Amino acid sequence: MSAIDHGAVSGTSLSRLRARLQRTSPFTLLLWGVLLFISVGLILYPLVTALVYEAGNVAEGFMSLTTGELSRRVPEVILNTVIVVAGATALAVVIGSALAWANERSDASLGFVGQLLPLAALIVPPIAGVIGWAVLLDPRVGLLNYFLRWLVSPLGLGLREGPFNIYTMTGLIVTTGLYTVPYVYLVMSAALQRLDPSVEEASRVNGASPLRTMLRVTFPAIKPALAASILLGAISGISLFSVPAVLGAGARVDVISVYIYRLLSDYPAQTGPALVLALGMLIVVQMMLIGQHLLVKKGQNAAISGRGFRGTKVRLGGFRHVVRGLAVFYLVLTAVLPILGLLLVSLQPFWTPAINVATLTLDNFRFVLFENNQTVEALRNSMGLGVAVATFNMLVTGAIALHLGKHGAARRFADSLTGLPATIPHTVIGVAFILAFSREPLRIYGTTAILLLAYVVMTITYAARAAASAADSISAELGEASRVSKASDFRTLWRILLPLALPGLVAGWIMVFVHTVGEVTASAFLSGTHNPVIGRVLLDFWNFGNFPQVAAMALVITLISSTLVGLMLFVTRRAHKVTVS
Amino acid sequence: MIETRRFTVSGQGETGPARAEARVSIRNLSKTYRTRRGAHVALDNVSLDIGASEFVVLLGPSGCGKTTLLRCVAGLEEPDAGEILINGQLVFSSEKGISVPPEKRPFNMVFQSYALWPHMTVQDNVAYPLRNAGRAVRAARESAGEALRLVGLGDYLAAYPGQLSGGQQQRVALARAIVSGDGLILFDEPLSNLDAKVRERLRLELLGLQSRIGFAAIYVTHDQVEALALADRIAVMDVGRIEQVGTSDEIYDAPRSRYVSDFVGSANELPGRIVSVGETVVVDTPMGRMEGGFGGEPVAVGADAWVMFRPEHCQFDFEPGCDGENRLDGEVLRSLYLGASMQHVVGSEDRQIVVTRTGGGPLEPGTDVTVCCPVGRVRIFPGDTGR
Repeated sequence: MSAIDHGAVSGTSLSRLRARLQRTSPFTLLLWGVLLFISVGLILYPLVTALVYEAGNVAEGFMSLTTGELSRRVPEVILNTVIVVAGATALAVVIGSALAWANERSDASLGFVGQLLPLAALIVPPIAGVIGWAVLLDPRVGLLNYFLRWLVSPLGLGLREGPFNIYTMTGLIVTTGLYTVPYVYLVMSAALQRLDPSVEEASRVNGASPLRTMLRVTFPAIKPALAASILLGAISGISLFSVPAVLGAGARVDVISVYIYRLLSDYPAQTGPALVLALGMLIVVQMMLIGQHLLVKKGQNAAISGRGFRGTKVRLGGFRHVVRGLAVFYLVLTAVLPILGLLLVSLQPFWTPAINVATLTLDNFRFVLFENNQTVEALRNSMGLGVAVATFNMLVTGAIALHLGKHGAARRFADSLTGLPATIPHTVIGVAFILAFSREPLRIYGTTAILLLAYVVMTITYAARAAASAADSISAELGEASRVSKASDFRTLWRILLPLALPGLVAGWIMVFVHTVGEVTASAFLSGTHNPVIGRVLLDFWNFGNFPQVAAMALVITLISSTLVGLMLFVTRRAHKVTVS
Repeated sequence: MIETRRFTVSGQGETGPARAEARVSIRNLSKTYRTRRGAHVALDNVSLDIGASEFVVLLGPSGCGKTTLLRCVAGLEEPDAGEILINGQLVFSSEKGISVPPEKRPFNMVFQSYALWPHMTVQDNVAYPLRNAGRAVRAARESAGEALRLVGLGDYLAAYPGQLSGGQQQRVALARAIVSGDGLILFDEPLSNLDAKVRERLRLELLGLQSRIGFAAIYVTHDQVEALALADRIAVMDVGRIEQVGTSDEIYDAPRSRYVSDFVGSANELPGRIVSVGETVVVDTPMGRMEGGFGGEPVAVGADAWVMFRPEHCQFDFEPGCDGENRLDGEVLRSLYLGASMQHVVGSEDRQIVVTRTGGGPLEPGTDVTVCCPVGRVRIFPGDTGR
């Protein structure tokens, strides 16, 4: 190896770049065009337009937030948000990393349950889960509360309410945390999979106890992943809308995402303060990202390489049944109990904890699925949007991941563009879209088009990650072999790379679809009576008190989601078998 | 450091007709990889011609640039400077801004990992290049079947690659490379993933196939035995440069540098100082005075030099035929049984040579022996011996 004159290299690089641009295939240009459209047209344009048109209101809004009429409420809202986010993130990080460690490093391997854990928030869309929990733990008519009161009634306590009340800060924190666990689990178990267990074995051999090994070796090695999962939890917590929208009103706890929504939906709409708060949210999240970048220096996650390590597992003895039990308990909390609650309420003519088998009816399902215009249209819209968004995003990100190859600056740039939306809270996207797309030249507020665009932006990061992992598992030589066999770029993509990546792309498609169908935040902001979607209608029905219908509808989307996730598991498992054989 | 000279093929005898006949002409190719840690020169002004049905092996250790050179010919990588012609047609020229994509270059390629498409049958894998060339499905499948019969896989047309052994998979890859009849096949370490036995058999089959069909081949390998067995000509590479080009016996018997001598085959190496230069060159080494010829540039009396000779050219003085002038005295340190041959390590604690003999038993360690080596087999290279 020898260093060469850098001046000489850069002298020719410009002409080489020009030559390369001239040779770029139309297909590559098309892909870059789409990426540019998404990042500029759907992120930059709404934000900038909103700022430009609302410039006057922004200053006014800022005044009103700091010294004006809103200044009395805002500090409380921010404090609430901080408490909820911090509490929920802490809860999720503890539960998520403990479960990840148990699955990857102890003999309490969770098997199928371990596979289901990261999917919990997909199997039961959070909005359905929250409604399910509200139905269970409403202080007076909550089914679980009623059951618990019945259990303790022989003691003669004569409780009229409780013992639990979900409409509290604690209820908010626990429910939010519950649905953040999967993200933490996913990040942590991926990090543990990449960490060579021999590092830990070396520690054991050198006389450290399992606990000491975990604290002194394992934990420091996966610290970057821990930081990443905390950040992920915080970002999703800040922008989380469904939980506070359902529980917050009853608890009289306003968090920032719901407060912004209220500012925009109440009459007269206060666009200035809403935009200022949304921007503040964006800035906070970006600062957290920068902070993470600075804290986690490169090269710290050493010894993380290769795959398929097989280390000795930490023996937990009898304790491993407890760990397994906890994992199952988590699934019961996130999926089984809420679904049960929803089912019981949806089969009743009205919500009562005293279940009378004689009055059980399917009327609510008939109402939701066939009779009510709003729900029928919402279901149709959401399904249609889900299909369109998932197909579009997987086609684009799949083509990018497969076509641009594994390495290189082009792919890195594309990845950073598709990763951008994940760093923007959904509330911000909602606010920016409302303000930018309700005026010329793009007056599309109130149409399904605006929802389509918002969903495309919000789910493209999921799509890109799924596509990348599908594409990167294909050896580069398979594509090269096709090129040297005289296949055009497009033909290589169509005949070789796409079929090989298909299982992964299908899994990604399902994930995007499920996210889109269960989306609440942007739906609340951007959907209305002319373009209803499931998330919006669920919230409306909840606020109007049509509880059995809400439960029925929540069950319907849960059923759709869990069926598709089951299909996803089936597809990816089969694909695994094919490549292994 | 080793003193090495840049080897250039262009020179006398390379003009006019010879150039037109070449299947591939590589002219002054350079490529530098820029990483965060700095620049790495993968190709440094490399030139090479490959004849119409010539088998050229690029040989060198990993990181010498041989794979980069191959991938540049394929169009899978782009050089920084230079020209590449295939069949007399310019496919790459940095000056003229030409870079023909791989799918438009007339060649095919066999990869180290076989690179068979797991979702297609063996027959469809092989038919794929023909389908891309616009052949009808049936005709393409038929030709694919023929190519597969040629490599001995006529019974596996409907199988999937995952159902075949490594050797069979590489045969399919070979069939896919010959089926379109491009006349040029690039091989990127195609046998290195296979067992030794399979490797040997495929090597023979590959040669048979080449003489039957008559394609030109550029074959990358780090295995010198493979290179010697396969090549019409070998190009030995070292950090981005071609050190020497020649037939197998030229490379083995007349290496032009210490690097080539050391990399191809095994070599005994003794440092020394040149005593006299005449018809032969005489060098004083720690194990005795040695006589031989210059391998590379001649140097004057008194200069440091390395004396190199191969273990199998050495003999013991108790064997018949040992009458040369080069006699080295030493003690047997140990004898290694290698099956077909026996390796004896002779010398002292700090300076050893190896003598390889076929037949004969092990020698008792500690025995004093005299080793001799014919003058014609000893090559002397100038270079710093660190004394």
